Amino acid sequence: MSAIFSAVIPVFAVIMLGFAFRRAKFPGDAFWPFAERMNFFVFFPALLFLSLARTDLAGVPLGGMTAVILAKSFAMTFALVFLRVPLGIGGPQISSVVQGAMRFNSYLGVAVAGMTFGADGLALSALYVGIVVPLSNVIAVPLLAIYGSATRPRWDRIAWEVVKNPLVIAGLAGAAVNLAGGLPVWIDRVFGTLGQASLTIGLLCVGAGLNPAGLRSMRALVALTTFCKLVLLPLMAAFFAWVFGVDGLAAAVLIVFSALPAAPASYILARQMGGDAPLMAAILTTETAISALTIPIVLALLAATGLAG
Amino acid sequence: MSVVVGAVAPVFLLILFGFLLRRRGFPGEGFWALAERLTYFVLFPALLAESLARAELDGLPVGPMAIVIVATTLIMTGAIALSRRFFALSGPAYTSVVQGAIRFNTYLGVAMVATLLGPGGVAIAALYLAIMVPFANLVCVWVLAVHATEGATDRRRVALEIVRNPLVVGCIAGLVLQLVGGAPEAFLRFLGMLGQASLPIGLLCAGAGLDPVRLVSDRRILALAAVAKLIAMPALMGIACAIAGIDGMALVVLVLFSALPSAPSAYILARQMGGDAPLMAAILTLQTGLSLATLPVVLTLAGATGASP
Repeated sequence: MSAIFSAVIPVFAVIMLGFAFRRAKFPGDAFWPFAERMNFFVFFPALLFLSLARTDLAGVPLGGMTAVILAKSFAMTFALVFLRVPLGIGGPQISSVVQGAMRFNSYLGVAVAGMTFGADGLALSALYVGIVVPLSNVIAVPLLAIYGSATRPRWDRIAWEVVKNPLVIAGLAGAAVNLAGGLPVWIDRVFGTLGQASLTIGLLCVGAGLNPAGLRSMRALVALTTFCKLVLLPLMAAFFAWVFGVDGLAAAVLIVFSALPAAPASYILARQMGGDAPLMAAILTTETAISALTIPIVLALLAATGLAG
Repeated sequence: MSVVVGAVAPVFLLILFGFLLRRRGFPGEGFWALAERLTYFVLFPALLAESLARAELDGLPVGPMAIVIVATTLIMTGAIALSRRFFALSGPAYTSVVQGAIRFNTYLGVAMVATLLGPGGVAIAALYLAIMVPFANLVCVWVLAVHATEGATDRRRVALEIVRNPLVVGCIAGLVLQLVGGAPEAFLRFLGMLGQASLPIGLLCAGAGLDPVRLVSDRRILALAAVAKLIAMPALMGIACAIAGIDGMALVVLVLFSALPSAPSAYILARQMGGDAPLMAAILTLQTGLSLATLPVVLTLAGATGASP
């Protein structure tokens, strides 16, 4: 149990520090958008690239992981879309609910998995991100375009967005280098050193993006989404992992990544594409706060069932 | 040789990368000054506090090592003070040369010692760092507080600047934690998470602050800083060790750490305290580049006269 707390507490402490910095206007309001850009284009791709380039991926159930990810994503999306009318959820709102119930904060996930499961956990996390980033784009963009108030989706545009995503490029390049036989030590260190900044800056940015002011309204929808994300989705992941026969560390990473709060990027997407942005912000903040309690529970259950720990 | 390249080349490349990013306007002009503030007030102090708190110093001979470290640092600082008039150094330029001559890139030293000497060498390096890091910070902050702004110096103001300096505070916090026997693992990991971003961001900032014109226009000063650090400092340390009767692995570690190029923290400190920051960036870049040639020689000499590494 203490191993779980010493893995999770630092992660949330850095998030809280980011929140406090933003309030105190340190190091300056202009810092955060720049830092996010830097992380998205440089630090995080370096970390993903190296994690996938370094680790022996021979025994990883790539197909099984992809199947579990697809199954739980579709199950959750369809459940929410079917419940839309009975629950009286409006068009722009449903896109935010789906995003809140599906998307995850990769910085938080990689930090928790790396701290708890070590280098192999980190590599599986990188793989998870590498699989999900294209999928979630493919799912989220048309949903926003259909149910949001913006323009119709174009599949060629979506495909291009996926292909030029730095995280996808980094993941593919890392896997290619892995197959080709690894890197010279000095190149490894260049990416290793750059990647070192990623989780720190990512988690600080997560905290800086929290906004408790918007929590007053929309309580029921926020609660529903948070429950779907932090409780239902990890259960679905565990179920489908069992169905598809994925076990061990791969299953643990699948479940942990399903138990993460949504990412700040979903707020940006909601605002750009006509989703319900204030609702999205409320979901993000609530999920992030409550996940500080639910993630340790998920990790403890994983340890208890012997999947990992 | 390959050990030197493996450690130094990434550092040099990251400085270069920071330079290129700034030139290309990525992620935006406002980023660098704010990233420096974050590094100065948060990331570096966290790194210093964590590493000093974690250092395992039991059973190592502190006395003789402390004496040679303090003596060589003071002699070098004195020598630069004497040469100040000959090189016509302004106050801020003088502080940058002092920082260039006595600070060192810890990351490089630890990486090389770990590869060349193994755990025994790392333990000695930890002791060296526990003494030298606080002392070097103290001397540098003191020199900057006195000389960075021209004019009469008020002792009270200088003392306050030293005591309030984030790097000094970080060192003191780490030493206090070391003396009281550590801190909760979660807290040390929190510090570690912040500190791990300091090296990449510090190096990128130093590269971003590099002005290639200064590499030519200040070549006399740059030559002074390079010779002082890469040649005179290890030679001085070799002599001091011979007098103090330090030999074997301890000699190799001391001489190697004395021969390391200056660190990105020197640039950040120069920026924050009014030193000549562009000169500092130029010194850093030149020293790091030249150390590719000088470190193998120093290692051979130290290995030949001391224990075989």
